[in-house]
Amino acid sequence: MVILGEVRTSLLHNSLPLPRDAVADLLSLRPGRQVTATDRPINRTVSPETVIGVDCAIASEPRVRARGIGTVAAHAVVVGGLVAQASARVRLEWTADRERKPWAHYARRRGVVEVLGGVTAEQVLAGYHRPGRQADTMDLGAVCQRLLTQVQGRPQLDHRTGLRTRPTSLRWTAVAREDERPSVRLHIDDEVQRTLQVVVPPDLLGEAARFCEDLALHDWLYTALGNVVGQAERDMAIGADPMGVLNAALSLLVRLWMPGAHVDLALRPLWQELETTPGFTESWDRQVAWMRDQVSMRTLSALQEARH
Amino acid sequence: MLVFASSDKGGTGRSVTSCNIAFHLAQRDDVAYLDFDFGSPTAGAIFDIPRAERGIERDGLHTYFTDGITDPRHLDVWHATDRADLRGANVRAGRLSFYPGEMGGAEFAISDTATTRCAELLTRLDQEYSVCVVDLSAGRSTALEMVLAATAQPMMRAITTRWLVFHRWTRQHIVAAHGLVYGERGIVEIGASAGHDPEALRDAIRFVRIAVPNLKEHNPGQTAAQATWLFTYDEELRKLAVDKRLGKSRVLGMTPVEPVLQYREQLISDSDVSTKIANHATVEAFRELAARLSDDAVWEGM
Repeated sequence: MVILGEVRTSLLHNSLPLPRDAVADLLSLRPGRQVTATDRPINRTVSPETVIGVDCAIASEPRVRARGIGTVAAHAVVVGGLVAQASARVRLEWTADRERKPWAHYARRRGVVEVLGGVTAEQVLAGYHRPGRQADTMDLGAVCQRLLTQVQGRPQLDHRTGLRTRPTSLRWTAVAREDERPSVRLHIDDEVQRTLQVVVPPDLLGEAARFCEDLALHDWLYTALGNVVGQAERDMAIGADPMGVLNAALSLLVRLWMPGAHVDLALRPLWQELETTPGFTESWDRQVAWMRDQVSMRTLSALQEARH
Repeated sequence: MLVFASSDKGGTGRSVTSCNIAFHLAQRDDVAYLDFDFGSPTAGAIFDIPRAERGIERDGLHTYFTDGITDPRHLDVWHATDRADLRGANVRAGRLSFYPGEMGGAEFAISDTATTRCAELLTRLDQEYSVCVVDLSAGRSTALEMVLAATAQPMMRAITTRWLVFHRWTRQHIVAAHGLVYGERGIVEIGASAGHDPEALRDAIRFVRIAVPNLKEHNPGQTAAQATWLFTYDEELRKLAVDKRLGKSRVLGMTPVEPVLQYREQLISDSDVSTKIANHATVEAFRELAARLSDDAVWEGM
């Protein structure tokens, strides 16, 4: 069994973190459907699921004619009232059909895409992970982007930018294998694009999406903090004041760091794997410490100057 | 901050000047340059990116507006340019991302969908880049109308938006620039009917005078009669500019006559100056324009 997914992560377009009730309101994208929220250890609110019907080519490597028919399941997530994510996924099921069935058949099975044609799971996985999307094939990124744009345009937001950050996108696949320990492979393709391969036992396949969303969140935080450090160094190099960007990052981003907090216990070992190589939290802590040092040193010298 | 580059006439140096402004801004900030000149995209040539010289083949800004793609392609100018002297010239430079138009693109009909998509794209990029320079085509184009309608939408109200109107230093250009801003179906009028406060919009517009001759420079080939005529006529143009509300307080800056740019529209870097191919004054003018563009004091209401 194979799941393909994509998560796009960006800063919510609001000057300050949004209170939890406002977040619930923000994510009530479908009338009559409830959002789900968890408050401990940090607020995480998930919008009702939307489904999008697809009938399109599926990327594969080497390229084989393959058609996918079914529905993409997508939802939006807001963490800490501050970070917005859009997450789309499909579970692939192979079928011997040669024609499309009535839509009612697909509509019943939310988030399942049936694959027609002689393509293998390996070819689809390789096609999904190849750099640069194949033209005119199923595009989960577009589904994510549309959802994200919808959330970011909602009237609950004041549309003021507290900190300039780059959205990131994480494309993931989860494969179910019996009798195999869960494992994970993260690849940083470029500054904003990541690919992730997860292997889990079949009973945990449904939890994989949550893990990938959590990883996407932390990878985004890590990237955003790195960019802040870069901007601060650039400011310092030309004698400009880096305090604005440092303060914004310290007050907005730092408290969101909680790897694995919202992940199923059985999948937390995956986080431990990533903490060993490439290592996340240790390096995050060091960056935060550097930023705090800069702020305190500058505060100190400003005080001394004021005294003279 | 969003910066819209407009001009009434073609050939005013709008694109080449705004590319150079973006280039200088990107020395310290992340900058995006969007080619909204849908009919004839040229910015790729100015950045010296061969594969985008006349726009790209697919998935550019034109398709974003007409065909519903979510991610128009963009190129990192530092990597994509053929100019070796720009690559790695400043290791601490910000990003300079170029969103090209498309080959064979054309103006398209303005619609509510296009306006909404425009607002979404500009808002999204403003969250990511310190400055987005949007190069509009000459005259009263669909692009101009579309961005005026988009920036009037509630989700864009909080974004700092500045307008530049480029014109050459001739009587016809001054009159035309006046018409584009204050005239019938001009920026202020279209903006007001889209929901902008006309006064605030007027205050967000500055003029850029392009290729202004330096009359104080010694010119041995000039006769006394020529010099007198030039001085008198220059003075007349100044008066005309004030009359047409294009006077000094509304001018962001000016660029001198630059022989290099008369032959080839390109970025003028410090290395072009040190090899004595381009004039130092030209680079200084671009740098000054970039600095004043992001200086809030310059943009205080009148």
